Amino acid sequence: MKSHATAILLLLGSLVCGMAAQGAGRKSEPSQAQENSKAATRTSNADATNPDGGKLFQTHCNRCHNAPDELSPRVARTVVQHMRVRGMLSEKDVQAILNYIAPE
Amino acid sequence: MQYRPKTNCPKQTRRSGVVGLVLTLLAALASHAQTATPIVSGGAGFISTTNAGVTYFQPVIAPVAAVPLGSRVLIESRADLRGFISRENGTNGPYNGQFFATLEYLQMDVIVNSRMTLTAGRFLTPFNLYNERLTPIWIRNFQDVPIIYPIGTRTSGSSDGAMLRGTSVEGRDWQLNYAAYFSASSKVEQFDSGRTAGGRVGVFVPSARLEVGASYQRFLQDEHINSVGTYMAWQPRPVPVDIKSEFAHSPRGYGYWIEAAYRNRRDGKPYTWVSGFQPMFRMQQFFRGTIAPEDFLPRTNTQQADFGLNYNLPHNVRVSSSYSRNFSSTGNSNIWNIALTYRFLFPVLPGGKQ
Repeated sequence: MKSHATAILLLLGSLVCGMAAQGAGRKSEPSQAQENSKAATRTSNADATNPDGGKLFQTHCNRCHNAPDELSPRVARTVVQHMRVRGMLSEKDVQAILNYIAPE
Repeated sequence: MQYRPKTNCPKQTRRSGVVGLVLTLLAALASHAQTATPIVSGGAGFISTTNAGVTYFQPVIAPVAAVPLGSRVLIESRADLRGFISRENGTNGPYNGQFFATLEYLQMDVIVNSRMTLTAGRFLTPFNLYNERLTPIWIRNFQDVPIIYPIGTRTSGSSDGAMLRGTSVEGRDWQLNYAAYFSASSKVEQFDSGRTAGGRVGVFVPSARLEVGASYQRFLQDEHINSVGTYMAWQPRPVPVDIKSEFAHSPRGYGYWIEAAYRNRRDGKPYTWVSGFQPMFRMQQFFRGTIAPEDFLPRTNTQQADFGLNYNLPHNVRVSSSYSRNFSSTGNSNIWNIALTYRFLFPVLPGGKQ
């Protein structure tokens, strides 16, 4: 009986974790889209407020390494998330670089 | 008689629980893969070194796994799997091989807000710039780490604990970045770390492509010592040169390295066979302080000049070569390195070119 309860608890725990992750993914979709559109607006609007993704890539990323050959958007999102932490990139720079390395 | 732990949980029930857990996590990852997907990246290579007449070979693979959970959470890890092949008696005898596997980091990053990321788990100790940014074999220009590398990165280059980091203030043409951490002592294999606290502050000026910063670490285990360091990274726009430098000081000794490399970043330009060449030079000096066991620093004052030539091939393949002359009161020596490195990156889950 105890063993079944443990198994059920384990399963429930994993379901909650899974749902939380899915929820996070869903939540991120509109915000990602909004952020992308904002970034696109910023790019099209001007260099005055910023961001030329290509320039930012050269300034930040090329300091240590060359660009990878080709990245799909979903891979690029993970890469910039990784580099945001490693390279201490600001949020607006991350968006601009993402739009540059994997435009959608 | 073999010891078996007592359990009330039948094997089948446990197995179904684990399978359920794995399936649910995979389902969650698959659904999230529409926005960002888990990836495996990293470097692989083969390094040949001849140091004072003793030759050894190191096949290396250093995979990095990154698993995003939503847009604010990332789990990432890097391991270093390395063979060490050398002659039994140094310069003669049959070749023997050893294998080393090291977990360099296994961390969870939570982006708290635009100015702060919380990192927990095992992470690379943020002391100066080399340890965090330049250690991957496909990034570092010279395959040998700088002589002063052990200062501020004891005991293993990695820390077990928590860290806050980010870009705290941003001006029109400058950014102030920071990292502050605490690490617990651990002697667990693959999680070896010292009890330390420290931090790093840097200022980056994008228009000048210049970053300068300083680091501090308090070693709180066995003996309490301070390590301090400064660093600089500069890619001047008018000339294609990449300059990096570090200075580090601790009671065990102090020193610096300064490296200049031709900046062959292609910046979107097409590859040509000439653009693949990258000559480099590095100068290092180390001045010994008090001697302590296992501090991984030279026993005496040491100077070293490194000359290198890398060749970048298409598809992230690089051939590296370098010659170093080491000057020390215990004897001068030559160090030769030849390496072939490859950088890889692919998604874990299928999804075409989305």
